Amino acid sequence: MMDFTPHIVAFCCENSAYRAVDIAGAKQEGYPSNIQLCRLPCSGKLEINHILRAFEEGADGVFVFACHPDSCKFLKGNVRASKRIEHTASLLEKIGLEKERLRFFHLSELEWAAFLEAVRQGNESIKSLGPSPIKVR
Amino acid sequence: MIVAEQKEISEIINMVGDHNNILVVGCDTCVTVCLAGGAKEAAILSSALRLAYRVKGKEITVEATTIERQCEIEFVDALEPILKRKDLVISMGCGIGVQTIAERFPQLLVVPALNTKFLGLPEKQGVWVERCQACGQCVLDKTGGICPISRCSKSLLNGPCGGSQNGKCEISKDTDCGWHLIYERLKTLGRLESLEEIMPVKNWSTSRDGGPRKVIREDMCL
Repeated sequence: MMDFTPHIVAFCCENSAYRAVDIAGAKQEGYPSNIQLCRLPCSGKLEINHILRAFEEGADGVFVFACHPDSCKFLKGNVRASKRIEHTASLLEKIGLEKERLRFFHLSELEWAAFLEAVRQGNESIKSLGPSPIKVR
Repeated sequence: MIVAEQKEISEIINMVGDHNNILVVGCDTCVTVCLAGGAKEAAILSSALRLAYRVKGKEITVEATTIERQCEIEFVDALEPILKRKDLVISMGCGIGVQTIAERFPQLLVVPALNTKFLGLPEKQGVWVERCQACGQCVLDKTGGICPISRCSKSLLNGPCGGSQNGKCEISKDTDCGWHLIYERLKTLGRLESLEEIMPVKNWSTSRDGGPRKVIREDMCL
């Protein structure tokens, strides 16, 4: 396995994962410093272009954290995000990037431990894929 | 509106080939509404192309812009200052948009990113359906506002064929029989007697059978 520190962009719904991160912080449970958080008003706000842009800017992996099914404050934002992720993963594969670099998680605001675990596991899986073939700098 | 859908990215990459200074042009009209070629889709395609070439170890310049309407020369004119440095234009307009840009800038190679599908409407979010084939001789007054040319799989003019079963067409259980719809609509309108009028053999020369079509309004010509 290649030894490198991946750059991971994590898009987090502010109604769940972003609060979970806050709780983790209050408990002084750190998360890996190579995870760059990006706060969203809802996962449904995430556009395909945001994900592609993250890869263009040199991300080795992109994680998207949405609320659990049926728990979206805006009713269907997480469903829409899930469909967009599926579509984007298929697009990534067609242009030669491993679709496993894009990961989608459901989380509630209280699941700070699950967030840390998802980030830890995700970090390992991106490490095993190696650096993204796209590096701008 | 004109309904289109994006070609497979692999097909677009093949069209790009060795070109390395590319402009992706979206259109703010029909293809924005059918989510195929508006500003958002132009940004996604240009980003995807840059990524696809970087994966192969090659840097290409792909910019995206969107104009109000690709099907009118006046709007296409706005591209002139941006196009000077480009060696390929990828149009995300319908087939008309591609041809308008190509006619306006004949020295440039213009390729389509979309497959133009039909004239239709959004039935619900993410679903578009055909409603008109631009046959050039409208009969909607006789059929309760439902087009037998586009809604009947055989474009029949005087009632359904034997393949109509329980309101569905024989080509698919998901396709309504156009003539069943017409019958039900005329029944609702209390105008079933209009079905007794035999429609004569259609003159298809006003449609595609007559070759490329043209409309001239002498009173509007300058």
